[in-house]
Amino acid sequence: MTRASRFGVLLAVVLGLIGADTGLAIAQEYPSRPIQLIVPFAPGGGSDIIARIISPHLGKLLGQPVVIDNRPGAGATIGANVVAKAAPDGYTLLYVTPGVQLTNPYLMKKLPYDPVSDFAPILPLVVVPNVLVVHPSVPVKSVKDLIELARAKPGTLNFSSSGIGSSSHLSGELFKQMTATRMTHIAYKGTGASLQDLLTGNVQLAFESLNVMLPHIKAGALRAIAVTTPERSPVLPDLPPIADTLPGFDAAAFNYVSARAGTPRPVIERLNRELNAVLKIPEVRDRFLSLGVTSIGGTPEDLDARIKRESLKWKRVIEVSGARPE
Amino acid sequence: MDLLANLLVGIEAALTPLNLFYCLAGVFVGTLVGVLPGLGPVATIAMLLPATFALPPVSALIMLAGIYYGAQYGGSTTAILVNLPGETSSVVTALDGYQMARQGRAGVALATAAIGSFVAGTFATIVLAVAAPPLANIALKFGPAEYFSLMVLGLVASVVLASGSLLKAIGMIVLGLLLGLVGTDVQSGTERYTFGIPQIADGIGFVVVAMGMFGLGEIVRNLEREGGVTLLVRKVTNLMPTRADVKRMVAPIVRGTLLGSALGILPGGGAMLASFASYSLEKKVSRHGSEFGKGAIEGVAGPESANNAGAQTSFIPMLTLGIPSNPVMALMIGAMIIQGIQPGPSVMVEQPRLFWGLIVSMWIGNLFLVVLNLPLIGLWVRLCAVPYHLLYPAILVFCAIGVYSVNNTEFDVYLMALFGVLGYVFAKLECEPAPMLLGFILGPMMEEYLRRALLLSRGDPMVLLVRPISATILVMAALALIVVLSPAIRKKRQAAFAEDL
Repeated sequence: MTRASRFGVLLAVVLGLIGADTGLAIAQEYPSRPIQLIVPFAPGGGSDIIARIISPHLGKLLGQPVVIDNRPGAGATIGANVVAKAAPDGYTLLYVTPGVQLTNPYLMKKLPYDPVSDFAPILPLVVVPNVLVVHPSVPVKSVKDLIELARAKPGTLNFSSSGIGSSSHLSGELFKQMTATRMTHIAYKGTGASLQDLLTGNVQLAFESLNVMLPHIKAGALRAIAVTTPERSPVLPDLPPIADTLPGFDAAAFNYVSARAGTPRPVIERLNRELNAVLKIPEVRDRFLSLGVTSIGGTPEDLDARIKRESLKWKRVIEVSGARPE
Repeated sequence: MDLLANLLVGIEAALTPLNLFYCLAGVFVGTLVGVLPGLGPVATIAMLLPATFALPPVSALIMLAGIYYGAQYGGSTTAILVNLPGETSSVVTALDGYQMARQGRAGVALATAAIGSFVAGTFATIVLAVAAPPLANIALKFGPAEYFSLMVLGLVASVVLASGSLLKAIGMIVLGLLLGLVGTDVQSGTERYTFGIPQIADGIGFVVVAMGMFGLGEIVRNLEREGGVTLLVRKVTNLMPTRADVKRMVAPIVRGTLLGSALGILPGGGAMLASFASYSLEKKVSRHGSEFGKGAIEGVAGPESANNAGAQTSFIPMLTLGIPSNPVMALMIGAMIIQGIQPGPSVMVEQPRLFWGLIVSMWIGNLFLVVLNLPLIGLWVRLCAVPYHLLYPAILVFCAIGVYSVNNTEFDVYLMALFGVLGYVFAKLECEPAPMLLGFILGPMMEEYLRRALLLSRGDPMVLLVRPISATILVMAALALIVVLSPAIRKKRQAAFAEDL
């Protein structure tokens, strides 16, 4: 070994030690300043509400305020891109909605970030179930009835969604594919905008978020048929899952928290621990229950596996549906 | 009587000291953000939303509603004083309001807006109390075909917004339609004219265009005109309207109130049309038609009344059906959900205190607004006396902050600067920005509704004529087109004769 190379080894060892040391130091100091939680949607929407419910509790547990930063636009890609380009230090987190990694890669021609390698998973947060509702004039009472009606009169039924690639749209596409039926998708700019045509019966059915549909179901303006999750919802316990009729049917908006890829492992673990603790706080649980969302929780590895699984599922649904624009 | 009993419940709920306080706080904050250009009620309500978690539901909604109509009100102040319409509804207020301000009649314009808004607010509140459920059912008669026809009517009427050349006005409308095409197509998800820029993937923001074309363009023109050192207004005349002014504003206020109340009921964009429709109507029926665009008091009184009436009645579909008319209503529905109230048909029955309390608070809020704003007029008018070289940097800064706050992106600020240049160029060419803005607002909605109507009819265009409401509106549009075109043809002929002589 020459002197130069011996010096090189020494240098490498020293640098390595410093590196390890700073890594440890980061984890011990973290967080030393406020943390930004990027919500890629406008304030007041579903994801924003959930983020605002958890952020004060997370801030309390971390000892630093968690500040919500709404960066809406382009189907969540603008907000996602902010995190993809941020420093990997755990001070810029992303409230991840399905668009970011699970659906946009197959719907959009070009993303400004890499959906696979730019993010480090932290925690699976919640699932927002959809409910299958029909206008009362539609003579169906169950999923089976609906499938029969769709087969008897192919191409006459319309279903509304809150937009291309939304959970309500893809739930409908999955339903069409699993039942081999034809229905026309009518897209709106958000659930609120779709309500009017749904309530008048211009559009016969929808797979929309449970909490938005609940008052209309209770008032009898819409008839609920089933939920899109494999389990029943505690909010409407009488409603069977679509999966009872169509085994394996599972479609709901999955939300989670991620950081920029390359964030030190101890930081990820700390965030995962505190977020899991937040999900167990009774106040948070009550709020989620009243919103009809189901909290999940788990390890970063659980999340990673789920992202891979769901991404594969939606890739297939989108490709078969032809929803990807030319 | 049922109504009296219900109103009593509402008065009881709204007149508690706590709720009075939140009502006042709401209209005060609303006026403030309305006055700050660009900083709209959506951003404000979103910021204050978490703070309302801890409040009782009635107080929370009273405050949020106050912010909403307070901002509608405040928005007209900047439109009149510095030609900055921060809301779609105040675009037309800027047309004549700003000209009045330039003539030293800013005080009169502001007072007219205040009086008109109050009268309209009072009437619309009564409508809300007396007839909310039956009116909501009318709203449900409107499907995509009806909304498309309504937008056509609005677009035809928008030609009237221009006071100059008809050809240029149509050119500007088309330009607005084209700008409106930018963004992601709702039905197919295809991006159009976005050039891969994610910041415009959802389209160009209204505030960006309006601030640039109106506000920045006007600043450049003012600097050019006066060398940038003199005052905006040479002499301020009377602060309050004279008897002659009052006489001229009565009929427009009445018509604007009725028109705004009717359009506000339609959740698919009705309230937005209210001020435009009222302006077009006033310009056509007024004996002072030639003064429009040059400071006609009717051009402020009508649209301001229509706008406020529409803002109030747009609560009808939200409270009785749970259908939001605009992003602010969607946020309020979000606030109700967080409070554990399910917005929808059951609110009136299950939450009478909330429903009637909110209605009564709206009237109280409108009263607060007048009391709050009439004394402020003197202060605002003095703002016009600030040397322009001190005033315009402040306007620029507020514009930049406001535009940034909509999406939290600096890209919008640059885009606004670009539209500022465009605004200046068009001003030089004597092309007016108001028709363009209307094309920009209505175009995308019209397309969306047309495609949805055709998608639902499986491609049959007759759906627009078979449905009676849609057909009626289209006939009205055709009539309006004839009315709009005829005087122009006459005028052009006269001009041609004049040249011959």
